[in-house]
Amino acid sequence: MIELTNVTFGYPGHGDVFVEFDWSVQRGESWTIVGPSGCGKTTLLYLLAGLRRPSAGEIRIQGEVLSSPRPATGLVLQDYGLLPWATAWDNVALGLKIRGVNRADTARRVEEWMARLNILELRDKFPAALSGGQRQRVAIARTLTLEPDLLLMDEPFSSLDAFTREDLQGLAVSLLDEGERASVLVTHDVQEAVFIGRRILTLGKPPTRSPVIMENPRAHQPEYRGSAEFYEMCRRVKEAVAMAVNGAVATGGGLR
Amino acid sequence: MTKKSLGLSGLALLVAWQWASWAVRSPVLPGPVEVMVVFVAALGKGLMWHMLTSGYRVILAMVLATILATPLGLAVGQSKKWDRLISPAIYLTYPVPKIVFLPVVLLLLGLGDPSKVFIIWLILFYQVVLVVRDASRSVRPELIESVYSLGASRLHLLIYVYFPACLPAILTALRVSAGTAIAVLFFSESFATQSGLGYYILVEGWGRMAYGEMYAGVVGMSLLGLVIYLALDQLERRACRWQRVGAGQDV
Repeated sequence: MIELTNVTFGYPGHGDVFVEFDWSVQRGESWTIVGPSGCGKTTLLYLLAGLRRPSAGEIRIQGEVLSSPRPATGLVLQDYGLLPWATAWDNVALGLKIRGVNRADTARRVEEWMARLNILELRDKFPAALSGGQRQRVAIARTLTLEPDLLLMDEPFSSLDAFTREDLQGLAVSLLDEGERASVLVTHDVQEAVFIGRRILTLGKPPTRSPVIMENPRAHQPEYRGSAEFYEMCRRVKEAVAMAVNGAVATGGGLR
Repeated sequence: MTKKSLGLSGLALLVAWQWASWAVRSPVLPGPVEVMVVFVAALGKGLMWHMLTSGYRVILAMVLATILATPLGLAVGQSKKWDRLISPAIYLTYPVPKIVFLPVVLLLLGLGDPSKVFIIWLILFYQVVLVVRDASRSVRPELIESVYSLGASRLHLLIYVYFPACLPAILTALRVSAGTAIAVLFFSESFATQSGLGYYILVEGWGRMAYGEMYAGVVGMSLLGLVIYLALDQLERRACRWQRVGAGQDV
């Protein structure tokens, strides 16, 4: 589904974030990328979204080289993604309007997703009148109305309180388990990474040259969260991140 | 601000006017009742037509300023190239009082409506370019990226992001400059013309020493300003409802 080959990327004046980086995501996989601030996790997500372009190497999605945002990729950002001057309904409908979907289909799909995400009664409210959790539901609905085959999420729950966050994480995994959609979620919260990611990519101090990947097959199961196994996994992820930050893992692969 | 408080302010103004008229005791300052009688009578005798003419000139100038200045403000705010090209010119010419060019404008565009509309347009144009430029610069990059990721083109970004982001600033700029626009209108109608409130006040009132008519014209001009101001205020309330929404509040 996603194929990164020899990808190099850096911000002018700040050095490279990724150097000859190879990584791949298969159809139906649910990934989380975890690491401390400044490790390049959001940069990697923006590269996958087509909002940044690698200075060398290439990113292929479904076999095609990525050079600009791809219609079938959905992106959910931490905040600020909603238009403050549009109602919840108009925000959810935005992507469909941009794509020229006719009014009847737009109305049907918007209503369907708003109902599924339990925000239909908020349809006429502006984002400023919504709580953080409600706003994030609107942002998720807006992305899912487009029926993306790849869902990218940048710290979607980090500004929410603990209860709302767990609630939305539960909603996210139920949506991710549907169909063959691949997903990549960026987070700095280790527990979130372990609950949502069946495969976890840990990033440390840039530049990153090769991926450090951890397998986590029990993710998404409600009873997994809180189990001894879950906390053991969190401990191992933290360890892997700490090692990557300290530069102990130069070539990666050892933590699999 | 409620309707009641506005009504009370209006009443206080009329009382002050009446009091001043009694104090001065001269035909140069008639009281409000006398002026209202003349005003109503004058409406049927041409004042209405002068009001409509003036209103047409100032509203046309406002519409043209918005249509032409908004795209330029957006271009300057969004493109470094346009900013380098246009911003220095705006910086240099902004402090020049545009009204001093009225004689030149009259020579070039003639004595009719075009010269009057042009000079008002010129003053408003600057205001709108500047507010649109600043408002479009303040749009958060995250917002642009999230809409862009939905597959938006530049045109979509203009329609769904930049224009609504700038609309409150445009309406505020027009509302704030409505007073200036009408002052300039008065000046431009004060010579070499036979229509508009400026002409009515200076020629039909002051020139003939018909003080009642002169004040009727002043009242007409004040009403014109008030109507434009209130209309823009209402437009802003309707179009920018989202700005008055606080967290957890119903719309």
